[in-house]
Amino acid sequence: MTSPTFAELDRVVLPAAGLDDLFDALHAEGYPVLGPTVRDGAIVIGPLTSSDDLPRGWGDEQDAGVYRLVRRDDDAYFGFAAPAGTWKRHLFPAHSVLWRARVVRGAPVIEENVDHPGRRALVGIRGCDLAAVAVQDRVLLHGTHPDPVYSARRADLLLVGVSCGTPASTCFCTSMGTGPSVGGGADIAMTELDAEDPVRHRFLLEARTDAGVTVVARVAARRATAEDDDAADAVVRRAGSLITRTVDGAGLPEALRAGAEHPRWDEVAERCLSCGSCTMVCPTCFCTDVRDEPNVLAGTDDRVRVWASCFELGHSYLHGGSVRPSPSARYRQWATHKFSTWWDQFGTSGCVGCGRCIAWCPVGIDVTEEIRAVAAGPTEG
Amino acid sequence: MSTLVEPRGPGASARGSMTPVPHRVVEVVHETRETVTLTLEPVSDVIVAPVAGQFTMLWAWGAGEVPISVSALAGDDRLVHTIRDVAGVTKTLCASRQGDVLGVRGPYGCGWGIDAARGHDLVIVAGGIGLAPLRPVVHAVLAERSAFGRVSLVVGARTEQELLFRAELDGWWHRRDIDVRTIVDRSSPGWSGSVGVVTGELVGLEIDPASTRAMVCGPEVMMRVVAQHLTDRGVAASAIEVSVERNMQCAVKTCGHCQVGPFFACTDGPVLPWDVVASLLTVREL
Amino acid sequence: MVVTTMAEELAGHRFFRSIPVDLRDRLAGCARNVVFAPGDRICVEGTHASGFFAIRTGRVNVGIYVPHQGLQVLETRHAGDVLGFSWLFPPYRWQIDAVAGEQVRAIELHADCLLPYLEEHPAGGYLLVRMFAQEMEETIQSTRLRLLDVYGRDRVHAR
Repeated sequence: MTSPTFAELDRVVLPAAGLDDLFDALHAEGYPVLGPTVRDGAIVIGPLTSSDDLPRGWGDEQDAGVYRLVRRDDDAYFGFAAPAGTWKRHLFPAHSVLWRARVVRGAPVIEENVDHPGRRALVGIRGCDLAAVAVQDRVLLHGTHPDPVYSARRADLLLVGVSCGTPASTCFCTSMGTGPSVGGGADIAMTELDAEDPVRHRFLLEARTDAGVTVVARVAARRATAEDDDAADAVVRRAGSLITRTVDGAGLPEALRAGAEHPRWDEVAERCLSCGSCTMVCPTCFCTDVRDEPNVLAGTDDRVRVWASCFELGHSYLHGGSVRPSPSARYRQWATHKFSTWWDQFGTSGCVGCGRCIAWCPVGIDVTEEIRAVAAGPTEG
Repeated sequence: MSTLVEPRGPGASARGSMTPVPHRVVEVVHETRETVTLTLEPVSDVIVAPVAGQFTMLWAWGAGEVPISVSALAGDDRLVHTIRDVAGVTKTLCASRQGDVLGVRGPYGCGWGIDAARGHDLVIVAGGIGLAPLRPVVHAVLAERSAFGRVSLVVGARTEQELLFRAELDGWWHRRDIDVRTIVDRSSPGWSGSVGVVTGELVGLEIDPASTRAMVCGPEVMMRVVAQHLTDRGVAASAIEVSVERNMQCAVKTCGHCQVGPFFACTDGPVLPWDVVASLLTVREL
Repeated sequence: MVVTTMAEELAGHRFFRSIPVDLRDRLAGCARNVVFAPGDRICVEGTHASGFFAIRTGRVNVGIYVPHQGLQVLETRHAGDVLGFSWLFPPYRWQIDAVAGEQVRAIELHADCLLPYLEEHPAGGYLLVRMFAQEMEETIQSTRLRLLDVYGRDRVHAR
């Protein structure tokens, strides 16, 4: 059998009832699947054994400080916006033991501990979250010191992105250029079509890399027609039109840099709890604490790395105090890093417009409003 | 978009970037009551030789790591670090004895622009422990003295007892080819030198602003005041380098703690030119 | 040997570099050169502040005498600095002791000679007082910065 080529396989259609074919194909190629699933009243990212584990028929309602699951009146598998869980957790664990040292004949001997999970497929990753992976790649993979933990978990990943059809009010991917369609970096891009019609409910699959082609080749699918292509475009166009939140990127990095003394930072600090929820749910935030955890009884010393947040008072600790003791300065640091200095450091925005920080802020702070106010310049009067 | 200073220093060794390389303490010198200079020798693996202004992450078993500047370039595989005991990991490091094995990661960071200072007058201003990262500069300059114009070293400390490298300082003070001035915040019995702030000594220093380059290291307040004094006298902000200190944990631009505005102190710094960093250091809590 | 007039010497001193000629000439008329050997007391706390000194060369240790501990040197004045503000205000008494740290050449200016002139010539008076005010500001700022104890150990980095 000749190997399938891109041209033959690049756009195929899989009926919704055959979605497990995709799972089978992934398993046959040695990719266990991670994807969205319902747990504890939210859509989180976890291991999936079959399409039954997907949040079929579930949607979400998200707003500032609001997240709830809602039942859809169709059987869409991916009828929700940004899941509550992040894919970040699986690439960049919240807790890692980097190495363990023990003393051998008076000197420490260090054993590096890097967990190689091997091949994994991320199925159902949105354009925004896919862009977030690319953002984190620049930080953790493409710097002068590639991170060993991230590198090991990033290798052998197959990314199966899904276009967004049902954005939430918190979404602003269109402003950030990350969605609703699946952008660069995906091995396979899927669009769910006609979920409300059990007969016509299907997925358009586009293989974009050799690895993607290899998987799609195993799936019993027909070639996509112009009608399928049009329907997919319509899904994305409609999703884009449903997005209400916006960020005006023009001049934003400069405006935030110049707005360090804007009174808005003090105003938002009156509401901000510095709880750090936004940084925990943000798919690009990468700050960590690195520390030793000695075990006197076992005679070992572990170098541990855990997620940290610039909202923590101790984050900027130096000489007995914090460089940024006030919540105002910490909020400013987060927002300015995300939308301004990230460009200087890594050549991209740090924000992908997933909106999770808005939904999961316990007091409903909307970062898009805050940066808009600061960028607008000093208030008159 | 502002352009960042490209890292000039060499990268880390081939092993995992977060894994320390064992080094044995071969010499311990008590500089002051709370400051110790350790000379370290590699146990087996050797790290890349540091340049003046760089730092390593020094690891003490069970305690953790701290960023410490190199305080001399040994010219061989040895490392020289001067550490001030401010409790925590530094306390453990300062209590090291000959034969103890510590861990070293690095070297990291951008060093002092010694090459760029050739052909210029050089004003070196050190406050407190800030003399440690600047000592290798003085060594390099004196080793190639004719490559530089007028060279001045102004050293500030809390009291005479807290001046570092006393014997060396006295030696430099006696030389004719370097103008050394020391000034303490408060006097003590037997101190016959100046009492005041470092800018008080700088006032009396004749400088030609057009041909002067400056390297300043010490508490941030002191660096701010000194840089301001020099720019008031016509020295270009781009000709002044400072060494920025922040909370550092990974030292490889991935933990996020050391940011000052767009810069990562561990990688874009710690040495940064005053013209790029001045506006950042004058914003409260940046 | 170059002989300079007092007015020329004042003109060559950093403190007086930008005063108008007529004020400078008046100051010259109230000035004389003095030399102190190392260890000489230049002024004594509590005594009448008869004027001020413009230091030409040498270092002056300024401080306060503490019983059983001797002179606690609190700051150093260098060539180009002035020493003495108390002559401007009641009770016209020195607040500090000053001792020559090494050989000091200075210009001593007398209050009795200067104050009446300054009263009658407010423009010149204003200028001189402004110059002193700037020196005082720099002294205060130096004192503040040292009170901050930036090299101190007070704040602990406990990681």
